[in-house]
Amino acid sequence: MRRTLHFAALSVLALAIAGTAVAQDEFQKPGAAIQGPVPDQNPGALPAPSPDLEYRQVPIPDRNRIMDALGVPDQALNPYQQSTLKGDRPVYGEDWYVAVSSVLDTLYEPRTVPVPTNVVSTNRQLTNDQFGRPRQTFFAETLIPTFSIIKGDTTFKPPELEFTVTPAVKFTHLGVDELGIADVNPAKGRNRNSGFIGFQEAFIDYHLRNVSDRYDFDSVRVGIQPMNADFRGFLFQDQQLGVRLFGDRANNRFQYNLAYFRRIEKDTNSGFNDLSKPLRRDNILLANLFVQDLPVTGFTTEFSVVENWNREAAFHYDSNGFQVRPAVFGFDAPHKYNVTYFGLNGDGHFGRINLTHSFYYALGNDSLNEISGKKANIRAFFLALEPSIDFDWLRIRGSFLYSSGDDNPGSGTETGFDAITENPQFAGADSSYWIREGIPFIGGGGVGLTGPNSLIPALRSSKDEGQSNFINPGLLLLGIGADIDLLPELRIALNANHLSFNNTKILEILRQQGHIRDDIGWDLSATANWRPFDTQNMIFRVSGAVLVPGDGFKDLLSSQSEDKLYYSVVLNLILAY
Amino acid sequence: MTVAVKRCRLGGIAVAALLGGGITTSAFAQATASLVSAVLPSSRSVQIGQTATAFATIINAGTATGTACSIAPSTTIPANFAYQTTSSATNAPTGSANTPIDIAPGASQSFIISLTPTAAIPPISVGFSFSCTNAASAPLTTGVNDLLLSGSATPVPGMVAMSATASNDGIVHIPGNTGTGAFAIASVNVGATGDLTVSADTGSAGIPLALTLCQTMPSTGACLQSPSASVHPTINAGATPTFSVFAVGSGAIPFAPATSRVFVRFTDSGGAVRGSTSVAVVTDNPTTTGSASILLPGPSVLGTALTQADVGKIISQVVQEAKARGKPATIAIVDRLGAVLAVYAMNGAPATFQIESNPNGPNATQLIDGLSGVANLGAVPLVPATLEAIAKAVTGAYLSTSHGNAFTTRTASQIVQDHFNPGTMGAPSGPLFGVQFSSLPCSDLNVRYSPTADLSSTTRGPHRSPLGLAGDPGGFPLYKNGELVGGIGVKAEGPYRVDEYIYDNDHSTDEIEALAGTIGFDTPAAIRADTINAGGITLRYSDATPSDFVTTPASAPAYASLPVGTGSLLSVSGYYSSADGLRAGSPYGSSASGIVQDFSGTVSTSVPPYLLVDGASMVRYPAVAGAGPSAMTQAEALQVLKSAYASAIQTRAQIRNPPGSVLAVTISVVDVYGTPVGVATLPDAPVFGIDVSLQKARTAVFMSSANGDAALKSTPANPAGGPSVGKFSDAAAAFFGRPVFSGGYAWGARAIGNISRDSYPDGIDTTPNGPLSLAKNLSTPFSVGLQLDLILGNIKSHLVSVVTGDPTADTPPFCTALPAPPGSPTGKPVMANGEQIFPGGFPIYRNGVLIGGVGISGDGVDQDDMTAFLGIYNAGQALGTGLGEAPPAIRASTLYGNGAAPHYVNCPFAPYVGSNSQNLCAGK
Repeated sequence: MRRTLHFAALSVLALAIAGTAVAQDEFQKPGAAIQGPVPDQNPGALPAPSPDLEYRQVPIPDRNRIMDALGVPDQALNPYQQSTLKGDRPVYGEDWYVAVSSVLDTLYEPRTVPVPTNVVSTNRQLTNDQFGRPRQTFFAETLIPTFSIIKGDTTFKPPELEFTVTPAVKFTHLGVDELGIADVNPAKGRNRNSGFIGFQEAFIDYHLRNVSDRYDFDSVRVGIQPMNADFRGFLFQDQQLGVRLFGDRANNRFQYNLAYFRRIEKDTNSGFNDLSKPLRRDNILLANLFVQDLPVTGFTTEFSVVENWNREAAFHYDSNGFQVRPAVFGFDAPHKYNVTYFGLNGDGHFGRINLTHSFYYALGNDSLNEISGKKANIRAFFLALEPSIDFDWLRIRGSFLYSSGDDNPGSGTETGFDAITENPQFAGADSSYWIREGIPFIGGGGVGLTGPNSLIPALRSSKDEGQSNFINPGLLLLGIGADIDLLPELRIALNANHLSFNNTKILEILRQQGHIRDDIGWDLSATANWRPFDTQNMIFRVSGAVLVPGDGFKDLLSSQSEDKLYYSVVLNLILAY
Repeated sequence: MTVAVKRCRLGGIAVAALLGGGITTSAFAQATASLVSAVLPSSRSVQIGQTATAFATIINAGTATGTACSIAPSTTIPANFAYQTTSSATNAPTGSANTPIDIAPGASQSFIISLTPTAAIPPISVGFSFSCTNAASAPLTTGVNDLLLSGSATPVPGMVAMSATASNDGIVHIPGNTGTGAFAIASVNVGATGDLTVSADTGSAGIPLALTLCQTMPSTGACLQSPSASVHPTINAGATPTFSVFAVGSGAIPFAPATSRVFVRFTDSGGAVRGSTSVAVVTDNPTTTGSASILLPGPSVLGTALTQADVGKIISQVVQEAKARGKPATIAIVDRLGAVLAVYAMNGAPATFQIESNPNGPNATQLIDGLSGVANLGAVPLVPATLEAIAKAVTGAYLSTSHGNAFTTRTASQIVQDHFNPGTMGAPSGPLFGVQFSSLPCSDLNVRYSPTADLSSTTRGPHRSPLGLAGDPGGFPLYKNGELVGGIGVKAEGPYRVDEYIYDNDHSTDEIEALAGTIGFDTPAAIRADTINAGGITLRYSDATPSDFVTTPASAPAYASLPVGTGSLLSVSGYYSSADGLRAGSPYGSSASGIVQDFSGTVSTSVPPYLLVDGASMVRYPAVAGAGPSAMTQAEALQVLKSAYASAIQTRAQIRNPPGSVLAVTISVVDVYGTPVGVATLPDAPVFGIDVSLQKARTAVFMSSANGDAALKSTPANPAGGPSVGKFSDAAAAFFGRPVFSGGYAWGARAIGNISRDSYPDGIDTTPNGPLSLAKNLSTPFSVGLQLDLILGNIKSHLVSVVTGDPTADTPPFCTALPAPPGSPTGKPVMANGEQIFPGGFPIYRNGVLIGGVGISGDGVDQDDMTAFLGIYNAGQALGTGLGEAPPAIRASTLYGNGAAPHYVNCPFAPYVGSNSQNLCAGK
């Protein structure tokens, strides 16, 4: 009902605008008779100034302070009023501004995940099998304030200089039912509380030059900064230390990035940048070009080349004492790799059909194939497609993803695709069970089938701290979903994905187990996002997901109970200033 | 002779099928001649003095001409043997008898062979050496190139039988898992008229196949009666009956013509086989249901063993490499059961080596530096290189198997240290932490060499190792034709040690020289340790590769031609006498080896087990009743053995290739005094597991018994030269706040292992040691705490005995100086072959009363753990006599020390092949 009212109001407005246009058109028609003055329709309104009135100049400070003159004071804490803290008026001189924002994120997540029992200890009687009780609860409280100092006109042209720093504070609590999960030491029990302060942004952005009078520009940004190598976070989406040259051309039709990143070690439990540790010996060189309206109007195509070279030959353990580099996997020996990703990504629409696609081809070499113990090449690819179509308030989505698997582990070529740091916004993203949860590869080494917030079953020790692994079973995802805007402030998303491995040979090798089947199972999820004020300042999010295990998953993993399906429930409140 | 022509052709095809089945070629193989062979018919039965003939074909599948190829029986029987080449076109003999012939690469040569019994011979599988001077004997496969021969004093039937399959290639194809295949048999009785039983079986292999047969009309092939399990015709002399055999599948059968075969046997009323034939069987288009097809351990090919010539060749290869490197070596070679075949010391080889010492030790007077401490004691300043070489050779042989895994001392090193992998942090200890102290010189199970006895006397069975198992690189298994036949150990340089950092190449002289010895006796690449994963970690095989060689081992000079001054065979008291010269090994499974397969069906009919036998061919550890209060009856002991065995033959191996294979372990059941009341070994199980399974069972019993603490405390200071061990009892009591080895708690080997590590919980570097371990700064793989201290005195006596050459100074034939438990009928300590501290042993209770224990060893520790645990549980369910697991309330997992409880049992993921059931031990 409410929806209908909105629609009616919009229609009336549209008709009114159209009517005005018609009237004006007639008024200006050459040769038309000049019409008499329109009769006064608005008695009591201020009359238009007389053309004969003497021109008088009244000095006002500047556009920023005009509100003061009008008697509307600056309200620092109200982002919907003029606010100095939001960069609405300079704090120094004519063009130095500050901008402050902050996000407070509260997350409560009950879930079930297959976990191993601890082999050297136990916390209760009759813990007789490898698979333990799957129940876990996870709680996280995160505060992410951002402080920026900006030089330049913040409204009519790009800023000239920007300093931004984003410290982030996180407290997490994990409760599990088995020992040796929260910490490598089983004597530390089943719960873990952890707090951390990290720096997610700390950069200087310098506007090098404008190259056209439409403010096409070149800028350079140095420091810890966010980067996403494609539209959906399939390859590299992170806040990392780097130097980035970026800009646009041809009235923003072309955008480019040239960037170099040296990865910062992450804190294990918060996932935040940990500047107290030495930088990782891992480098990323990135070049990309976005072309708008290619091949058709309304579609943007990105060409990219991303080079990742990793020289991490030393052992590294995470904050909970688990070995993460090299992964406990096969020969379990330190190794280095170079890999170049050639990407072709796109986002936009062909007529009524929306399409996002991502294709990567990975080409490189690995100093040690952990299965053969010898050098190997890397040749792998990745393809994702998401077509969708909108029917008013309803969007129907299809999802297809193929991440190549290694069909001959231990050969001279590793053919399993792995990303650098994926955070995929795809097929339900972090409300999907498979993507959201890290699932341990029990019995197959100290690696996960998938990490948290990742799609690819990459058999990595850790998404944040581990090395990429190109000896993995690969993934085929076929899914369908819907985004339903039930109300302007309420969106429901539904997703159903079927997942399977492309080749389980490596799983069979690592577990010394014959005939592991491909079928991972069905991942079903529903999410509700409620924005009570129609803004992003307060968002409630509730999502629930279940994984209905298929034969392959059952061949691999189980639990002492509740193994018919695994669930994850997310209750999330995001407050933003 | 037209029939004979056809026989030969079939023989050739059978060989081709074998080749197609993938005789594994070694990664280290040199270009050479390589032989395969076939014999038809596969059985003959004749009267004494009459000649049994058969046709044989040798194919040279190698790349070089086989020179002077000949045939000789490898089984000793009272019969005269002759062979002669034949024309493959006419089957007429060519050339002259007993004359070797060259065979070109890719070519084949047919022969006629004859055996004339000179005395009565019960039906026996006669193996042959089909060899050329430059090629090892063709692999022996029962039913393909052996001859089942019998010779009798009276006229007996003699059936010559041949099979024909639809595809005419000697292979029966079963369409799909549950399809039906068939083949036909034509036979002729060339002996006397007799009543015979004709039946079909699959030999010793467990193949999912139901077999029936019928006699047929020769003209039409129609059955004369409904097919049944056997038919009982009277076959006249000269008669030519025909038969059809039907095979109905009940599961996928992989193509393995050496093991997956159907045999048809003609037996007389006395049970003697008077004729047989066989075909290979395979499932076409198999469908796998559940999680895997079942790959059972195949039987070993009887008759394969190292010959004296082989031993000489191996020594010569090492000598050549060691000379060229300027690092003269001491070399030991053993057979699969650990019998020493030669100890050879090159001139200039160091006679002794230090055992690697803890930098925080040694404190020899207190023996806290373990093995190196004992070596520093008085009479034995350093350990003889001969003993180190023997221990390494034994380790290579004992940890490996023919068809599942090939491990070296480097593999052993990787899995016995405080972390797995060694050198990392946080990870628990190696899965076989403690296996280094098994097959000990004091073991009451492992036999000893006696200079007065040869290999066929009472010294049959697994032999002891002077220092337990070795982690010092330079010990390898030895293979012939894909069969494990022994091990080699070389000591030339550096301390006797373990590899504490496995991520680099050691460039170990010992290992390179030992590897040179293995050339021509190479490990099949498909089962090498570095193709096997445990806990997702790849095991290590060897840092040395053939590229390290400075010589070409295959072209080493003949042993006999080694110049004077090169070196000499060396007597080692208690192991080997140089007066014996080079010795040949015993084929695994032959009665001379001391371990034979048991087809009686007592323990299992589907996978006949191997049992230890003594020189009189008596089973050493049959299922018998136990002793003590509420003791196990014979039926109960047998049921525990059978239940554990039945679980084992379904269980997925963790250390055997290909993935999805069934494991191969040894099961030992003991009573409350530690006396074995039943021991059975799965086919192709590694030998180390025989001793270790008994250690585990006894450890569980001892630690769970009411007498444990008292026994530990009652050992006098330095019993037999060893340390007092009462302190460990005190330490455990202090750790848990109460005495824990006094009958109040049930301990399995896993839980004992948990508290026997140098950190508790195991693997956590920041926590102190478990109460049965030495402190972290003193602990090494050569010095672990209680486990070693219990037997240090025995090892010291043994070293003194070896060094002084005085056999009377040797350790008594049982380990530990602990008192025998009260009432023990044997008067021996419970842990008479030493304690063991890795998983796979549990106590057995009846209504809360300890009555015995089960130990299993030979595969992954979780697999060992589960099969032992389920053996007790399932036996209890089957018996209903109150026999069963320890009551949960008294299991050691109820104890807390240092914030964590020991783990009682851990059953593995995906435990059974052919099934995706999980959590088999839940609630038990």
